Amino acid sequence: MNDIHIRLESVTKEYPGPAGARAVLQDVSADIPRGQFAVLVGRSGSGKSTLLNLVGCLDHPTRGRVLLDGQDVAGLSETELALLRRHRIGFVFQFFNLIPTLTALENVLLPLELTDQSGSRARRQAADWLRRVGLGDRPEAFPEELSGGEQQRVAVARALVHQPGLLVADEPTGNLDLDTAQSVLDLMDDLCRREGATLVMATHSPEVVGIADRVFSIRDGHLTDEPLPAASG
Amino acid sequence: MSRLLQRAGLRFLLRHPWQYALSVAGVALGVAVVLGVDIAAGGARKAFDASRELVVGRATHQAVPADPFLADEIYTRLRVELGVAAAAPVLEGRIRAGGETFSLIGIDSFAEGPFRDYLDTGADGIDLTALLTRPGTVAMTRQAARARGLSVGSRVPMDDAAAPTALEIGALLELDDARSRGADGLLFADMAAAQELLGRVGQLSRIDLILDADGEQRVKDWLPQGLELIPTAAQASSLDQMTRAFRINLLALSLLALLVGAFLVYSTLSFLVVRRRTTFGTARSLGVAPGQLFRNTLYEALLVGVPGTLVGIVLGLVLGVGLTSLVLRTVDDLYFRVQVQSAGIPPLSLLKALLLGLGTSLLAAVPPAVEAARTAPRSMLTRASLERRIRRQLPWLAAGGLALAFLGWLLLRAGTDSLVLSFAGLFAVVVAAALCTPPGLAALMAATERMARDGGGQVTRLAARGVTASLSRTGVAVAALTVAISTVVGVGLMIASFRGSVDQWLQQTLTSDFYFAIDEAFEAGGSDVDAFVAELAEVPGVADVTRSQRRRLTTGDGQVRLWAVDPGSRDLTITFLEGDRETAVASFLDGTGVLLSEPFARKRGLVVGDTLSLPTPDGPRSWLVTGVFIDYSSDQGSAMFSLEHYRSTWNDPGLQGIGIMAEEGQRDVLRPRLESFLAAHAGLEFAANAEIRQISLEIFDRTFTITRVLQLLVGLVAFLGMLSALQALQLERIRELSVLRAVGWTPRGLIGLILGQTGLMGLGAGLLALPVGIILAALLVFVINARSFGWSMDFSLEPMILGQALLLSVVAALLAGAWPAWRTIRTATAAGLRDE
Repeated sequence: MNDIHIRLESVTKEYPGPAGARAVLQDVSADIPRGQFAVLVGRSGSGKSTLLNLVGCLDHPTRGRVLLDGQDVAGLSETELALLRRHRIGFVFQFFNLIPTLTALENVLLPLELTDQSGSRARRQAADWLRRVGLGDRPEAFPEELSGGEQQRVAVARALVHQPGLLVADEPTGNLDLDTAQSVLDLMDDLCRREGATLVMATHSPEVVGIADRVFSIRDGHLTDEPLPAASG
Repeated sequence: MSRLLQRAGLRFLLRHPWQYALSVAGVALGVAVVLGVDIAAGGARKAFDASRELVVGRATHQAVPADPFLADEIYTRLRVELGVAAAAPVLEGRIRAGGETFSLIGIDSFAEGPFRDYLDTGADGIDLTALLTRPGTVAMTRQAARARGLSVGSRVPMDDAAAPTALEIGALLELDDARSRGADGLLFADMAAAQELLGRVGQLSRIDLILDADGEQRVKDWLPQGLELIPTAAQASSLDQMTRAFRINLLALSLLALLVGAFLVYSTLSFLVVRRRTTFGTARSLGVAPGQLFRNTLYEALLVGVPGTLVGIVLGLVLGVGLTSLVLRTVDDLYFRVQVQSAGIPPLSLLKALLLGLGTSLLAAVPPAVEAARTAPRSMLTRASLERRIRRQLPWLAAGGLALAFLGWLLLRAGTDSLVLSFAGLFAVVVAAALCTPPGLAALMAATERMARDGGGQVTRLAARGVTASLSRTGVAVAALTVAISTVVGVGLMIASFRGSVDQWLQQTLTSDFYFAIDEAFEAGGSDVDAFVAELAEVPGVADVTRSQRRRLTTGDGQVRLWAVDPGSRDLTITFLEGDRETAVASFLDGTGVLLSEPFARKRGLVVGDTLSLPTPDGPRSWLVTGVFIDYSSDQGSAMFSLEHYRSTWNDPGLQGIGIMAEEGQRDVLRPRLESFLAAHAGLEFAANAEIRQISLEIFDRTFTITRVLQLLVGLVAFLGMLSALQALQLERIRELSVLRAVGWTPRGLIGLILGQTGLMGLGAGLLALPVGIILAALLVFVINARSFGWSMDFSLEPMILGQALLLSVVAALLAGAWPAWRTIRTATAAGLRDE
């Protein structure tokens, strides 16, 4: 099984500030089972991105533990964390973060190359993923030649091409119009479910909340499990 | 290493061609300067080696006289009485012919075989019969003859000898190219002919010998008093030492150019890393390991370093040709006679340049590579975290700079005898200044912002804040400019101080109104020098006559320059650094003491009260050192005796210089009278005081031409660095500047902002460079020069040099900001807002 079980135990994250340390997350605990689609909602600056960074092993907690499949990631070296991300985690960012000097195909190819998959087979696989996100006809386009929606679809393909167990998405539709946002969202949901990946997404979008398995709300650094709209309704 | 990441890096560079080209140019110039200097220094050494090898040949020893010459019967006795077969007599002197000065070497062609292969007259050797049978016949190399359009049988008129009136080319010597360069100014003649041409009948300069250990002892025991047996290897080493300081100084300057070039690479790669923090952050989030990013950044350094080094090597070869002629001219002016010709390209120099260019590029890339590798992926996604960290590091940078400066001071103190340690100390001070620049810049900008706030200057405030907000980039750019400008100030002040001291020394020393220089042709023409002086003294309008003789005495410790002076009825016109003037002059006049020039005393560690031992025809003799005086005429220094004492000790009646003091108001009328003497006597050169001063200062300026060229190149490298850094900074800010345009800033306002910011950076660099430059100048004047050449000098703080440096810094920065300013106002606002 590829998908990842996420467990947060009393996680606190502080940042240094002029007036001393400022806690962005305080004593947060959560459990996200394998294959679940979990959504984080909250105001800007509430700590959503910080929590995603911790879950995606991009940052370390000040206190507490982040366990992926029961393994405390605090014990891993930078290289081990890089290998974990390389093989088992995919990211989709609000500002797409494609490598501007690589073409769409090369951007998708990059995670495969990092996992030692190169050559024609890897290129076919990357091209196939571009087709799956509807960009099969633009493999040689550079990011600047693509629209925001197209760039985000390349980012989705890049995040999933190496079949990660966890997809971390930080407001992936925040920069897209409604229609494009919906299509990107459906794509991610569909692909994650098909590939069996756990999906953790931060969003302001009510449409996302509607299709998620679980919704967490962050306020003043505290995390609460929100009832699903369908269940409450 | 990921090939896609490599490709992304290459494409990034190609998308910013100007920045890429500037970085490549920076490395290229750095490498070119080092290679050029290396070729030039190697050229000087090779020319010297070739000349030496030609003249000394395979001789292991030389028997040299304490007198200027030895009688040729000693050579005959050495062969007959002692049975030494491998011995060859040599007479050396200068001769003017065809408008050129040649070194004429008299030889015995029958004895030459074992010594100089090109003069071997054996079965397969050269035919020198013509030299034996016809007077005034000489041999020269085939290459030298070709260069002058001469062949066997050609006649070259002699400029100032009595007879014969022309030299005839009797034979052409076959030498390979390397040796022929060293032999360009040499003429060979049979001993009898040479003795006649030089007016030295019955005299030799030395006897060359090939001896084993037994033979050495036998010859030593046999040699009559006044002759010394010296191994040729010791002589070569002492001559090599002579130019060592000169070569190390050149090397240090070229390394400084490379250091500034390395700053440029560092600056560029830092920019590449900083500008692509988001890309690297993304790559890290995709699972790229820190080590991969580190290696990737080093690979990008090679993308700059490889073309930069290759272009630098090509430029260096071109520069080397120009610098070689400058260096050889300086060596010719200051040390020994060499022909000003290129001496080829040593392959080792190419290899050194290659390794240095690539090594420096890689080394300069290490800090940005570490930066790329070690930053957490999360913080890579935000610029603010980097700037925050840089600001937090400012006190540490300042502390590091001060610690390095302290280390530099320790090195300078410790390395009293070592030039290499002294330069290491100097470099530590330069790097310390670079480290202190970002904190210094931040402080200057904070002060500017405060002043602008009080004065209501919005643009100035924004510009100052912009510099501080991007300290990760502006700090490096300003540090590079600070290092370059401080070098310009330091070297400029050092040269000005040196020139001022030399000028003052010339004024104090050259007190006669006119000077006659006498060469060998004078005596060769049969003239009696003392009779000539007596004749001069009787010329109406002559108040006083001074006489001097200079001579190199060959000793076991290398050559010693003797300077014998008769000051006439006047006091000695030298300035004492050590010793009581009255005592020193009294001992000079009565021959009990010797006066030493400063470099001579420093190099031999002698002070007043010590004794100096020298060979004389009556055996070794010691003198008490009674004074040390200022003398910039040679960095080898000289030992000064009264002419009377010198003549009685070394049996040398010759003179090299005569000074004439005119009676009050008679100077102008005296000149034509003295000039008429020239016509009557061959081998005389005549000059007025002012002309000698001018020639001396011209030689001084020529000596420092290479320093100024290198200084200019260092400045150019730094300007490229500033240009590259500022362009990158401003191009990165196009989006921010477009926002300002969108909210209503005029193009003129934006230009003011951009140029205001770059101008402030230039001003900051200039202000920081002034104290650093003054410190560098003081170190160069009081430490490096004193240790290199043994000269002390007055420190001269020229306000003009400081002002020019400040102006240069601001203008360079404004020029660097011009293109980004133009580009910003040319970019459509909407396009600017979309800029990646």
